Amino acid sequence: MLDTKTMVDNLIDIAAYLPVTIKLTIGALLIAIPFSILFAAAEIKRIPVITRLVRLYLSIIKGTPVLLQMFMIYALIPFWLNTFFTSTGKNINIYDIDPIWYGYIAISLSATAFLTEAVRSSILSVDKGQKEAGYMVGLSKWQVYKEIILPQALTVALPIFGNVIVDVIKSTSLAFTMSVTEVMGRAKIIGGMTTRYLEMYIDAFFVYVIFIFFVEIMIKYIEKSVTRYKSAR
Amino acid sequence: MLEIKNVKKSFRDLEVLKDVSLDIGDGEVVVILGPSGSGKTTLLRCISFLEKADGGSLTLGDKEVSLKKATKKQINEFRKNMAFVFQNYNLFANKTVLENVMEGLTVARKIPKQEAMERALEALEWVGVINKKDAYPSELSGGQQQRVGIARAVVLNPEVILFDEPTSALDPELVGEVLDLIKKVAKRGITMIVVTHEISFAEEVASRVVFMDGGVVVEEGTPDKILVSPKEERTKEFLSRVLPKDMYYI
Repeated sequence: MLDTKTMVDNLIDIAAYLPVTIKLTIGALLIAIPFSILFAAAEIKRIPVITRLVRLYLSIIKGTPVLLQMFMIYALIPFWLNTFFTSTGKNINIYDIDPIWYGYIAISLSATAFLTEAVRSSILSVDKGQKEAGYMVGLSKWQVYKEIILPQALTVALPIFGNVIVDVIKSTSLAFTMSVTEVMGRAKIIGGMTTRYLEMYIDAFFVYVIFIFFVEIMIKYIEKSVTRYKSAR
Repeated sequence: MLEIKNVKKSFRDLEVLKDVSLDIGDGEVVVILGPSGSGKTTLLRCISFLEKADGGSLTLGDKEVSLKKATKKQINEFRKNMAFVFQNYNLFANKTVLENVMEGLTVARKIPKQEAMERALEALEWVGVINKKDAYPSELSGGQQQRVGIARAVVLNPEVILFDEPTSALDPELVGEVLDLIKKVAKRGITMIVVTHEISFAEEVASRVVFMDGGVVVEEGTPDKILVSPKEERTKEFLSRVLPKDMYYI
Protein backbone atom coordinates (compact mmCIF):
# COMPACT_ATOMS: atom_id res chain seq x y z
CA MET A 1 0.00 0.00 0.00
CA LEU A 2 0.96 3.63 0.37
CA ASP A 3 4.46 3.99 1.74
CA THR A 4 3.79 6.90 4.08
CA LYS A 5 7.33 6.94 5.43
CA THR A 6 8.89 7.59 2.01
CA MET A 7 6.14 10.07 1.37
CA VAL A 8 6.84 12.09 4.53
CA ASP A 9 10.60 11.78 4.20
CA ASN A 10 10.64 13.27 0.73
CA LEU A 11 8.02 15.99 1.20
CA ILE A 12 10.60 18.57 2.22
CA ASP A 13 12.91 17.54 -0.60
CA ILE A 14 10.13 18.19 -3.12
CA ALA A 15 8.96 21.39 -1.42
CA ALA A 16 12.55 22.61 -1.62
CA TYR A 17 12.02 23.02 -5.36
CA LEU A 18 9.18 25.47 -4.84
CA PRO A 19 11.61 28.38 -5.37
CA VAL A 20 12.20 27.10 -8.92
CA THR A 21 8.45 27.05 -9.52
CA ILE A 22 8.20 30.58 -8.15
CA LYS A 23 11.15 31.70 -10.23
CA LEU A 24 9.52 30.30 -13.38
CA THR A 25 6.25 31.99 -12.54
CA ILE A 26 7.77 35.38 -11.84
CA GLY A 27 10.15 35.18 -14.79
CA ALA A 28 7.33 34.31 -17.18
CA LEU A 29 5.12 37.07 -15.78
CA LEU A 30 7.90 39.63 -16.03
CA ILE A 31 8.13 38.86 -19.74
CA ALA A 32 4.36 38.58 -20.22
CA ILE A 33 3.22 41.76 -18.46
CA PRO A 34 4.96 44.37 -20.64
CA PHE A 35 4.16 42.44 -23.82
CA SER A 36 0.53 41.99 -22.87
CA ILE A 37 0.17 45.73 -22.22
CA LEU A 38 1.69 46.51 -25.61
CA PHE A 39 -0.42 43.88 -27.36
CA ALA A 40 -3.60 45.06 -25.65
CA ALA A 41 -2.82 48.64 -26.63
CA ALA A 42 -2.28 47.51 -30.22
CA GLU A 43 -5.62 45.71 -30.20
CA ILE A 44 -7.49 48.66 -28.76
CA LYS A 45 -5.87 51.24 -31.03
CA ARG A 46 -6.36 49.06 -34.12
CA ILE A 47 -3.02 49.71 -35.76
CA PRO A 48 -3.37 48.21 -39.26
CA VAL A 49 -0.76 45.45 -39.58
CA ILE A 50 0.31 45.16 -35.96
CA THR A 51 -3.18 44.46 -34.66
CA ARG A 52 -3.52 41.65 -37.21
CA LEU A 53 -0.23 40.14 -36.06
CA VAL A 54 -1.26 40.35 -32.41
CA ARG A 55 -4.55 38.59 -33.17
CA LEU A 56 -2.70 35.91 -35.13
CA TYR A 57 -0.37 35.40 -32.18
CA LEU A 58 -3.28 35.11 -29.77
CA SER A 59 -5.16 32.57 -31.84
CA ILE A 60 -2.06 30.45 -32.44
CA ILE A 61 -1.04 30.41 -28.78
CA LYS A 62 -4.52 29.81 -27.46
CA GLY A 63 -5.22 27.20 -30.10
CA THR A 64 -2.28 24.92 -29.36
CA PRO A 65 -1.36 22.88 -26.27
CA VAL A 66 1.12 24.48 -23.88
CA LEU A 67 3.07 21.24 -23.80
CA LEU A 68 3.52 21.33 -27.55
CA GLN A 69 4.63 24.96 -27.35
CA MET A 70 7.23 23.93 -24.78
CA PHE A 71 8.57 21.09 -26.89
CA MET A 72 8.83 23.40 -29.86
CA ILE A 73 10.60 26.14 -27.90
CA TYR A 74 12.96 23.60 -26.42
CA ALA A 75 13.78 22.20 -29.84
CA LEU A 76 13.70 25.34 -31.96
CA ILE A 77 15.53 27.95 -29.92
CA PRO A 78 18.69 25.90 -29.30
CA PHE A 79 18.70 25.04 -33.00
CA TRP A 80 18.40 28.69 -34.01
CA LEU A 81 20.97 29.80 -31.49
CA ASN A 82 23.36 27.13 -32.64
CA THR A 83 22.97 28.15 -36.27
CA PHE A 84 23.42 31.78 -35.27
CA PHE A 85 26.52 31.15 -33.16
CA THR A 86 28.18 28.95 -35.77
CA SER A 87 27.47 31.37 -38.59
CA THR A 88 28.89 34.30 -36.62
CA GLY A 89 31.86 32.22 -35.57
CA LYS A 90 31.22 32.60 -31.84
CA ASN A 91 32.31 29.70 -29.76
CA ILE A 92 29.39 29.33 -27.38
CA ASN A 93 28.08 25.98 -26.34
CA ILE A 94 24.31 26.20 -26.32
CA TYR A 95 24.18 23.34 -23.82
CA ASP A 96 25.68 25.71 -21.26
CA ILE A 97 22.49 27.75 -21.31
CA ASP A 98 20.39 27.07 -18.24
CA PRO A 99 17.17 25.42 -19.53
CA ILE A 100 15.17 27.62 -17.16
CA TRP A 101 15.47 30.33 -19.83
CA TYR A 102 13.54 28.17 -22.24
CA GLY A 103 11.06 27.69 -19.42
CA TYR A 104 10.59 31.44 -19.00
CA ILE A 105 10.01 31.91 -22.71
CA ALA A 106 7.72 28.91 -23.20
CA ILE A 107 5.51 29.72 -20.22
CA SER A 108 5.38 33.43 -21.03
CA LEU A 109 3.94 32.67 -24.47
CA SER A 110 0.58 31.58 -23.09
CA ALA A 111 0.73 33.93 -20.12
CA THR A 112 1.10 36.83 -22.58
CA ALA A 113 -1.92 35.64 -24.54
CA PHE A 114 -4.15 35.40 -21.49
CA LEU A 115 -2.92 38.65 -19.94
CA THR A 116 -3.47 40.48 -23.22
CA GLU A 117 -7.10 39.46 -23.12
CA ALA A 118 -7.34 40.52 -19.46
CA VAL A 119 -5.80 43.92 -20.08
CA ARG A 120 -7.81 44.56 -23.22
CA SER A 121 -11.17 43.56 -21.79
CA SER A 122 -10.62 45.44 -18.54
CA ILE A 123 -9.74 48.67 -20.35
CA LEU A 124 -12.73 48.29 -22.65
CA SER A 125 -14.97 47.60 -19.66
CA VAL A 126 -14.56 51.18 -18.44
CA ASP A 127 -17.56 53.18 -19.59
CA LYS A 128 -16.70 55.60 -22.37
CA GLY A 129 -18.50 58.35 -20.51
CA GLN A 130 -15.62 58.32 -18.02
CA LYS A 131 -13.21 59.22 -20.79
CA GLU A 132 -15.49 61.94 -22.13
CA ALA A 133 -15.97 63.45 -18.70
CA GLY A 134 -12.20 63.50 -18.32
CA TYR A 135 -11.73 65.31 -21.60
CA MET A 136 -14.43 67.82 -20.69
CA VAL A 137 -12.75 68.84 -17.44
CA GLY A 138 -9.65 69.49 -19.53
CA LEU A 139 -7.58 66.36 -19.06
CA SER A 140 -5.28 65.24 -21.85
CA LYS A 141 -5.54 61.74 -23.27
CA TRP A 142 -2.63 60.54 -21.17
CA GLN A 143 -4.09 62.14 -18.02
CA VAL A 144 -7.44 60.51 -18.71
CA TYR A 145 -5.76 57.11 -18.89
CA LYS A 146 -3.57 57.65 -15.87
CA GLU A 147 -6.19 59.22 -13.61
CA ILE A 148 -9.44 57.60 -14.68
CA ILE A 149 -9.28 54.64 -17.06
CA LEU A 150 -6.33 52.62 -15.81
CA PRO A 151 -7.21 52.73 -12.09
CA GLN A 152 -10.71 51.55 -12.94
CA ALA A 153 -9.48 48.95 -15.40
CA LEU A 154 -7.12 47.63 -12.76
CA THR A 155 -9.94 46.76 -10.40
CA VAL A 156 -11.62 44.82 -13.19
CA ALA A 157 -8.38 43.17 -14.26
CA LEU A 158 -7.12 42.05 -10.85
CA PRO A 159 -9.38 39.02 -10.40
CA ILE A 160 -8.51 37.94 -13.95
CA PHE A 161 -4.80 38.53 -13.26
CA GLY A 162 -5.22 36.33 -10.21
CA ASN A 163 -6.56 33.52 -12.37
CA VAL A 164 -3.76 33.96 -14.88
CA ILE A 165 -1.14 33.81 -12.13
CA VAL A 166 -2.60 30.56 -10.83
CA ASP A 167 -2.68 29.18 -14.39
CA VAL A 168 0.95 30.16 -14.87
CA ILE A 169 1.94 28.43 -11.63
CA LYS A 170 0.23 25.29 -12.80
CA SER A 171 1.78 25.42 -16.25
CA THR A 172 5.27 25.63 -14.71
CA SER A 173 4.77 21.97 -13.82
CA LEU A 174 5.27 21.21 -17.52
CA ALA A 175 8.72 22.76 -17.45
CA PHE A 176 10.22 19.47 -16.29
CA THR A 177 9.74 18.28 -19.87
CA MET A 178 12.40 20.86 -20.72
CA SER A 179 14.69 19.39 -18.06
CA VAL A 180 13.94 22.21 -15.60
CA THR A 181 13.70 20.62 -12.18
CA GLU A 182 10.90 22.27 -10.28
CA VAL A 183 8.34 20.75 -7.89
CA MET A 184 6.78 18.41 -10.44
CA GLY A 185 10.13 17.48 -11.95
CA ARG A 186 11.61 16.72 -8.56
CA ALA A 187 8.64 14.53 -7.64
CA LYS A 188 9.12 12.58 -10.84
CA ILE A 189 12.87 12.19 -10.26
CA ILE A 190 12.49 10.90 -6.70
CA GLY A 191 9.63 8.73 -7.89
CA GLY A 192 12.01 7.19 -10.38
CA MET A 193 14.69 6.66 -7.77
CA THR A 194 12.43 5.12 -5.15
CA THR A 195 9.86 3.65 -7.55
CA ARG A 196 7.29 5.27 -5.25
CA TYR A 197 5.65 7.47 -7.87
CA LEU A 198 2.23 7.77 -6.27
CA GLU A 199 3.68 8.91 -2.94
CA MET A 200 5.78 11.54 -4.65
CA TYR A 201 2.82 12.76 -6.68
CA ILE A 202 0.83 13.11 -3.49
CA ASP A 203 3.67 15.16 -2.02
CA ALA A 204 3.70 17.42 -5.09
CA PHE A 205 -0.07 17.66 -4.86
CA PHE A 206 0.15 19.04 -1.34
CA VAL A 207 2.94 21.44 -2.21
CA TYR A 208 0.85 22.92 -5.03
CA VAL A 209 -2.39 23.01 -3.04
CA ILE A 210 -0.80 24.85 -0.13
CA PHE A 211 1.24 27.20 -2.30
CA ILE A 212 -1.69 28.17 -4.52
CA PHE A 213 -3.86 28.61 -1.45
CA PHE A 214 -1.44 31.25 -0.14
CA VAL A 215 -1.15 32.90 -3.53
CA GLU A 216 -4.93 33.21 -3.71
CA ILE A 217 -5.11 34.78 -0.26
CA MET A 218 -2.47 37.27 -1.35
CA ILE A 219 -4.36 38.13 -4.52
CA LYS A 220 -7.62 38.60 -2.60
CA TYR A 221 -5.84 40.91 -0.21
CA ILE A 222 -4.42 43.04 -3.02
CA GLU A 223 -7.79 43.08 -4.77
CA LYS A 224 -9.48 44.35 -1.64
CA SER A 225 -7.03 47.16 -1.05
CA VAL A 226 -7.30 48.38 -4.64
CA THR A 227 -11.05 48.12 -5.16
CA ARG A 228 -12.26 49.99 -2.13
CA TYR A 229 -14.50 52.32 -4.17
CA LYS A 230 -16.51 49.51 -5.73
CA SER A 231 -17.26 47.75 -2.47
CA ALA A 232 -19.09 50.83 -1.30
CA ARG A 233 -22.79 50.57 -0.57
CA MET B 1 -20.06 85.36 -28.14
CA LEU B 2 -20.73 81.72 -28.98
CA GLU B 3 -21.30 81.23 -32.65
CA ILE B 4 -22.09 77.83 -34.06
CA LYS B 5 -21.94 77.82 -37.85
CA ASN B 6 -23.09 75.25 -40.40
CA VAL B 7 -22.54 72.12 -38.33
CA LYS B 8 -22.97 68.93 -40.33
CA LYS B 9 -22.68 65.40 -39.06
CA SER B 10 -23.55 62.00 -40.45
CA PHE B 11 -23.23 58.58 -38.92
CA ARG B 12 -22.63 56.37 -41.95
CA ASP B 13 -25.64 57.04 -44.18
CA LEU B 14 -27.69 58.76 -41.53
CA GLU B 15 -27.52 62.53 -41.71
CA VAL B 16 -28.00 63.60 -38.10
CA LEU B 17 -27.14 67.27 -38.44
CA LYS B 18 -27.86 69.09 -41.68
CA ASP B 19 -26.28 72.48 -41.48
CA VAL B 20 -27.14 73.78 -38.02
CA SER B 21 -26.22 77.31 -37.00
CA LEU B 22 -26.84 79.11 -33.72
CA ASP B 23 -25.75 82.46 -32.41
CA ILE B 24 -25.66 82.69 -28.66
CA GLY B 25 -25.09 85.84 -26.68
CA ASP B 26 -23.28 86.24 -23.36
CA GLY B 27 -25.25 84.90 -20.44
CA GLU B 28 -27.98 83.51 -22.63
CA VAL B 29 -29.77 80.33 -21.61
CA VAL B 30 -30.64 78.45 -24.76
CA VAL B 31 -32.90 75.45 -24.40
CA ILE B 32 -32.93 72.99 -27.27
CA LEU B 33 -36.11 70.97 -27.64
CA GLY B 34 -37.02 68.32 -30.13
CA PRO B 35 -38.04 64.72 -30.57
CA SER B 36 -35.47 61.95 -30.07
CA GLY B 37 -33.24 61.57 -33.05
CA SER B 38 -33.53 65.24 -33.95
CA GLY B 39 -29.79 65.77 -33.44
CA LYS B 40 -29.88 67.85 -30.23
CA THR B 41 -27.40 65.74 -28.33
CA THR B 42 -25.19 65.28 -31.38
CA LEU B 43 -25.03 69.05 -31.73
CA LEU B 44 -23.76 69.42 -28.15
CA ARG B 45 -21.28 66.61 -28.69
CA CYS B 46 -19.99 68.17 -31.88
CA ILE B 47 -19.39 71.59 -30.40
CA SER B 48 -17.57 70.02 -27.45
CA PHE B 49 -15.49 67.89 -29.85
CA LEU B 50 -16.69 64.65 -28.29
CA GLU B 51 -17.91 63.87 -31.77
CA LYS B 52 -16.02 64.99 -34.84
CA ALA B 53 -18.34 66.99 -37.09
CA ASP B 54 -18.17 66.63 -40.86
CA GLY B 55 -18.22 70.38 -41.24
CA GLY B 56 -18.91 73.64 -39.49
CA SER B 57 -17.13 75.97 -37.15
CA LEU B 58 -17.31 77.32 -33.67
CA THR B 59 -16.47 80.80 -32.49
CA LEU B 60 -15.99 81.48 -28.80
CA GLY B 61 -15.02 85.01 -27.88
CA ASP B 62 -12.62 86.06 -30.62
CA LYS B 63 -11.37 82.58 -31.46
CA GLU B 64 -12.72 80.51 -34.28
CA VAL B 65 -12.12 76.84 -34.91
CA SER B 66 -13.16 74.31 -37.51
CA LEU B 67 -15.19 71.53 -35.94
CA LYS B 68 -13.81 69.10 -38.46
CA LYS B 69 -10.14 70.03 -38.54
CA ALA B 70 -9.46 71.28 -35.01
CA THR B 71 -6.06 70.25 -33.70
CA LYS B 72 -5.62 68.72 -30.25
CA LYS B 73 -4.20 72.01 -29.04
CA GLN B 74 -7.19 74.00 -30.32
CA ILE B 75 -9.61 71.49 -28.83
CA ASN B 76 -7.96 71.80 -25.43
CA GLU B 77 -7.98 75.56 -25.70
CA PHE B 78 -11.71 75.62 -26.44
CA ARG B 79 -12.55 73.02 -23.82
CA LYS B 80 -10.91 75.20 -21.17
CA ASN B 81 -13.80 77.60 -21.61
CA MET B 82 -16.47 74.93 -21.68
CA ALA B 83 -17.98 72.46 -19.28
CA PHE B 84 -20.32 69.59 -19.91
CA VAL B 85 -23.03 68.08 -17.72
CA PHE B 86 -23.87 64.57 -18.84
CA GLN B 87 -27.14 62.70 -18.89
CA ASN B 88 -25.53 59.81 -17.01
CA TYR B 89 -23.53 62.12 -14.74
CA ASN B 90 -20.26 60.33 -15.66
CA LEU B 91 -18.65 61.08 -12.34
CA PHE B 92 -15.21 59.51 -12.08
CA ALA B 93 -16.05 56.22 -10.37
CA ASN B 94 -12.61 55.82 -8.80
CA LYS B 95 -12.60 59.25 -7.19
CA THR B 96 -14.45 60.71 -4.25
CA VAL B 97 -16.94 63.53 -4.70
CA LEU B 98 -14.34 66.11 -3.68
CA GLU B 99 -11.70 64.60 -5.96
CA ASN B 100 -14.19 64.62 -8.83
CA VAL B 101 -14.66 68.35 -8.49
CA MET B 102 -10.94 69.03 -7.94
CA GLU B 103 -9.70 66.93 -10.87
CA GLY B 104 -10.15 69.59 -13.55
CA LEU B 105 -8.49 72.20 -11.36
CA THR B 106 -5.44 70.34 -10.10
CA VAL B 107 -4.64 67.95 -12.96
CA ALA B 108 -5.82 69.87 -16.00
CA ARG B 109 -5.31 73.48 -14.91
CA LYS B 110 -2.41 72.92 -12.50
CA ILE B 111 -4.00 74.97 -9.75
CA PRO B 112 -2.31 74.38 -6.35
CA LYS B 113 -4.05 71.71 -4.31
CA GLN B 114 -5.01 73.95 -1.41
CA GLU B 115 -6.67 76.55 -3.60
CA ALA B 116 -8.35 73.85 -5.70
CA MET B 117 -9.74 72.23 -2.59
CA GLU B 118 -11.17 75.51 -1.30
CA ARG B 119 -12.84 76.17 -4.62
CA ALA B 120 -14.17 72.60 -4.85
CA LEU B 121 -15.58 72.73 -1.33
CA GLU B 122 -17.23 76.03 -2.10
CA ALA B 123 -18.82 74.54 -5.22
CA LEU B 124 -20.03 71.48 -3.31
CA GLU B 125 -21.53 73.72 -0.66
CA TRP B 126 -23.25 75.69 -3.38
CA VAL B 127 -24.86 72.61 -4.97
CA GLY B 128 -25.74 71.20 -1.57
CA VAL B 129 -23.77 67.97 -1.37
CA ILE B 130 -20.91 69.09 0.87
CA ASN B 131 -21.88 66.39 3.39
CA LYS B 132 -21.02 63.75 0.77
CA LYS B 133 -17.60 65.10 -0.13
CA ASP B 134 -15.73 61.94 0.87
CA ALA B 135 -18.22 59.50 -0.63
CA TYR B 136 -17.67 57.65 -3.89
CA PRO B 137 -20.19 58.23 -6.72
CA SER B 138 -21.62 54.71 -6.30
CA GLU B 139 -22.76 55.73 -2.82
CA LEU B 140 -24.85 58.65 -4.07
CA SER B 141 -28.37 58.89 -5.43
CA GLY B 142 -28.85 60.03 -9.01
CA GLY B 143 -29.84 63.50 -7.90
CA GLN B 144 -26.76 63.84 -5.72
CA GLN B 145 -24.55 62.57 -8.54
CA GLN B 146 -25.93 65.13 -10.94
CA ARG B 147 -25.38 67.87 -8.34
CA VAL B 148 -21.76 66.82 -8.17
CA GLY B 149 -21.68 66.79 -11.98
CA ILE B 150 -22.89 70.37 -11.94
CA ALA B 151 -20.38 71.34 -9.26
CA ARG B 152 -17.62 69.78 -11.36
CA ALA B 153 -18.70 71.97 -14.28
CA VAL B 154 -19.27 75.20 -12.36
CA VAL B 155 -16.01 75.04 -10.43
CA LEU B 156 -14.07 75.42 -13.67
CA ASN B 157 -15.55 78.87 -14.20
CA PRO B 158 -16.35 78.13 -17.83
CA GLU B 159 -17.82 80.63 -20.23
CA VAL B 160 -20.32 78.06 -21.45
CA ILE B 161 -21.89 75.03 -19.81
CA LEU B 162 -23.48 72.41 -22.02
CA PHE B 163 -26.22 70.34 -20.38
CA ASP B 164 -27.10 67.13 -22.19
CA GLU B 165 -30.50 65.98 -20.92
CA PRO B 166 -29.35 66.50 -17.34
CA THR B 167 -32.51 65.13 -15.75
CA SER B 168 -33.44 62.34 -18.15
CA ALA B 169 -31.78 59.58 -16.13
CA LEU B 170 -33.21 60.74 -12.81
CA ASP B 171 -36.06 59.27 -10.83
CA PRO B 172 -39.08 61.52 -11.35
CA GLU B 173 -39.09 62.77 -7.78
CA LEU B 174 -35.50 64.00 -8.12
CA VAL B 175 -35.98 65.94 -11.34
CA GLY B 176 -37.29 69.04 -9.61
CA GLU B 177 -34.35 69.57 -7.28
CA VAL B 178 -31.83 69.23 -10.10
CA LEU B 179 -33.78 71.62 -12.32
CA ASP B 180 -33.84 74.10 -9.45
CA LEU B 181 -30.09 73.83 -9.23
CA ILE B 182 -29.72 74.41 -12.96
CA LYS B 183 -31.86 77.52 -12.60
CA LYS B 184 -29.46 78.64 -9.91
CA VAL B 185 -26.59 78.20 -12.35
CA ALA B 186 -28.48 80.26 -14.91
CA LYS B 187 -28.80 83.10 -12.39
CA ARG B 188 -25.02 83.26 -12.15
CA GLY B 189 -25.00 84.57 -15.69
CA ILE B 190 -23.09 81.69 -17.24
CA THR B 191 -23.99 81.04 -20.87
CA MET B 192 -25.84 77.76 -21.07
CA ILE B 193 -27.08 75.41 -23.73
CA VAL B 194 -29.54 72.93 -22.30
CA VAL B 195 -30.89 69.95 -24.17
CA THR B 196 -33.94 68.76 -22.29
CA HIS B 197 -37.45 67.39 -22.49
CA GLU B 198 -38.62 69.55 -19.60
CA ILE B 199 -40.87 72.05 -21.32
CA SER B 200 -41.77 73.86 -18.12
CA PHE B 201 -38.09 74.39 -17.42
CA ALA B 202 -37.67 75.88 -20.88
CA GLU B 203 -40.62 78.14 -20.30
CA GLU B 204 -39.29 79.39 -17.00
CA VAL B 205 -35.56 79.68 -17.56
CA ALA B 206 -34.77 79.92 -21.24
CA SER B 207 -33.94 83.21 -22.82
CA ARG B 208 -34.38 81.42 -26.09
CA VAL B 209 -35.93 78.14 -27.16
CA VAL B 210 -34.61 76.31 -30.19
CA PHE B 211 -36.77 73.61 -31.70
CA MET B 212 -34.89 71.00 -33.69
CA ASP B 213 -36.21 68.19 -35.83
CA GLY B 214 -34.61 65.98 -38.44
CA GLY B 215 -31.19 67.55 -38.03
CA VAL B 216 -32.21 71.15 -38.63
CA VAL B 217 -33.32 74.09 -36.49
CA VAL B 218 -37.00 74.30 -37.34
CA GLU B 219 -37.72 77.43 -35.38
CA GLU B 220 -36.24 79.50 -32.59
CA GLY B 221 -37.30 82.39 -30.43
CA THR B 222 -38.38 83.40 -26.96
CA PRO B 223 -40.17 80.74 -24.90
CA ASP B 224 -43.43 82.63 -25.41
CA LYS B 225 -43.06 82.62 -29.12
CA ILE B 226 -42.06 78.99 -29.51
CA LEU B 227 -44.04 77.33 -26.76
CA VAL B 228 -47.21 79.36 -26.91
CA SER B 229 -47.57 80.44 -30.51
CA PRO B 230 -45.30 78.33 -32.69
CA LYS B 231 -45.43 79.03 -36.41
CA GLU B 232 -44.14 75.81 -37.83
CA GLU B 233 -46.32 72.77 -38.20
CA ARG B 234 -43.62 70.43 -36.86
CA THR B 235 -43.22 72.48 -33.70
CA LYS B 236 -46.97 72.51 -33.11
CA GLU B 237 -47.15 68.79 -33.61
CA PHE B 238 -44.28 68.15 -31.19
CA LEU B 239 -45.74 70.45 -28.54
CA SER B 240 -49.16 68.90 -28.83
CA ARG B 241 -47.58 65.58 -28.00
CA VAL B 242 -45.58 66.75 -24.99
CA LEU B 243 -47.80 69.49 -23.56
CA PRO B 244 -51.16 69.24 -21.89
CA LYS B 245 -53.58 70.59 -24.53
CA ASP B 246 -54.73 73.76 -22.74
CA MET B 247 -51.17 75.00 -22.45
CA TYR B 248 -50.48 76.25 -25.88
CA TYR B 249 -53.96 76.73 -27.33
CA ILE B 250 -54.26 79.87 -25.29
